[in-house]
Amino acid sequence: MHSSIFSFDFSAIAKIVGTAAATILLAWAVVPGELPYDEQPVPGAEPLNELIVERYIYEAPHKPVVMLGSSILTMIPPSNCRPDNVASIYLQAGSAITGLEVIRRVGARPSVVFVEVTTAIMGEDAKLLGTVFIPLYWRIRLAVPPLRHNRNWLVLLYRLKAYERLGPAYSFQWPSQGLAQWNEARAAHIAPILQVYGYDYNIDPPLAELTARVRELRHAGTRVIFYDSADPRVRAISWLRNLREKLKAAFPGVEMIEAPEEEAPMYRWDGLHFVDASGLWFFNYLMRRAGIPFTPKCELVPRAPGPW
Amino acid sequence: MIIGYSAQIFADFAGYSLIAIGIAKLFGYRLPDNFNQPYLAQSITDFWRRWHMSLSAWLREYLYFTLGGNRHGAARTYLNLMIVMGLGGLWHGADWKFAVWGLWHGALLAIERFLGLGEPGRNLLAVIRIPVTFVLVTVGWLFFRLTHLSDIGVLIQEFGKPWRDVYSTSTGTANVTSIFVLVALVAMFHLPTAWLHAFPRLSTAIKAVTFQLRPYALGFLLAVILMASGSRHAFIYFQF
Repeated sequence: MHSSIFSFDFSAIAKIVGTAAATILLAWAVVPGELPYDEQPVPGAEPLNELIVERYIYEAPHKPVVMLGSSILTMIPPSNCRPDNVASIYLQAGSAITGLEVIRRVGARPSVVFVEVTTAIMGEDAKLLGTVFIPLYWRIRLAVPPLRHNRNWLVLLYRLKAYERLGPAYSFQWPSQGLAQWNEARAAHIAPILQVYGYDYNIDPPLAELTARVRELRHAGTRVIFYDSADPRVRAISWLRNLREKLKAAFPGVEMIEAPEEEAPMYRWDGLHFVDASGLWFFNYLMRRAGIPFTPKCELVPRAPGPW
Repeated sequence: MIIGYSAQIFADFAGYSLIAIGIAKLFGYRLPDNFNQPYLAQSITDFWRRWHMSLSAWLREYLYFTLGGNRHGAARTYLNLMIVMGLGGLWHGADWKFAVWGLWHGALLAIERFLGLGEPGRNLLAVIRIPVTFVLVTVGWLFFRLTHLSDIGVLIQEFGKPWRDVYSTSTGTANVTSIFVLVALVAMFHLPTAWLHAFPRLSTAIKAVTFQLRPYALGFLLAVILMASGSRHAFIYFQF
């Protein structure tokens, strides 16, 4: 006798689907919406970037201030120091252009967006966007938190175990070395960055991409602030200087903030990435310059003032 | 880490094969099994009867037999094994690492044949032979995993370094815990099947209970998979 769809045992399918749904509902009920280790790093740039973008899409599109950039932004400020009104899309080996596209796709309307210029030469990360914005499924994830990568039980477990060992820090101190000594000791790490930035890049394609997105955002009423936190030697490189100038020309009167080396010690690991204390200081500086009120979560333990 | 790769490549390729078998079945085609618990093999000979069975059958039928198989004396048989496995390695890609991986298996097959250890036994010795075979297969995967064969030096240097306590770092602790949980989950779903497989004369009542519980276990597994979604990585074997 031939079997047909009508003789199929649908009760088994119902049991499978029912058990799966019950398990997901249980996870939804048990796992809190916000966990202290939600920003604990995970290994690998790709998975980490997915988590960072997802965290913005699902948990932070309503936040009025958004910071967009690369891994440089990781310490501006350290994640547990980020005030409640600030979201950050700090993409490892990425740039602000991808973050701008995320904001566009989500349809968020932040009041202020900080755009990192230092890495704007890198275009949009289409692979990352494709992974996060799976058609239809990303909206299902929006509605059902346990299906999010951020609530992936393996990610949660990994983060929990890492968090238990490290815990968050809320107080930061400058390194004990003077800045000149520090830069001398880090010279071998700064040299490759200077070499990479020393190439002659064609800034026009990324500039066009960036200006189009920024124009759209400004048109919607968002205040866009560009910033460049790199070592002065990097910032002095001609194409980066040109990029800043062209952005200023494209958006007359736009705010462009650079790291004020004369005001505080800017300790960088490699000419780009800040140590935690400098990152926190620079974040506070950006907020002050932009006149954005915020409640600090972390403190800088003072050290004897300059000369750096 | 190396054992992790053994697990990954098996899960990757066996899963990939099962998906192909399942899809073919939907269209009325019955494809042969490609894996049969390969890490329970008692020898490399036994391993190749259980791992990538379609490829090993093809290599046997079209290469080994064509070269004369074992009909021209012991020395020629050993040479044939090396040639067939070396070419089998190159089937995975034109890279020395695959050739070395194949030759490693060819050499082990030849040694087994010389020592008369190829056939699996049903005695206590099997308890020792299974882990020994697994270690030999895992060493072979080292070549397979390398980006370039020249990286083997770096790997050997790493082996020479003193043992580090994985629990001494936060990432180490997190990694090890995640791996244990994954292994526990895999075991939870595979042990009942392995149990039924190992004891086919189990009472009908126990079989019935296991069968009745299966949809619930599958439902739970489905939820676990859905809740562990993330980066979409291509199958390792997709490239071959």
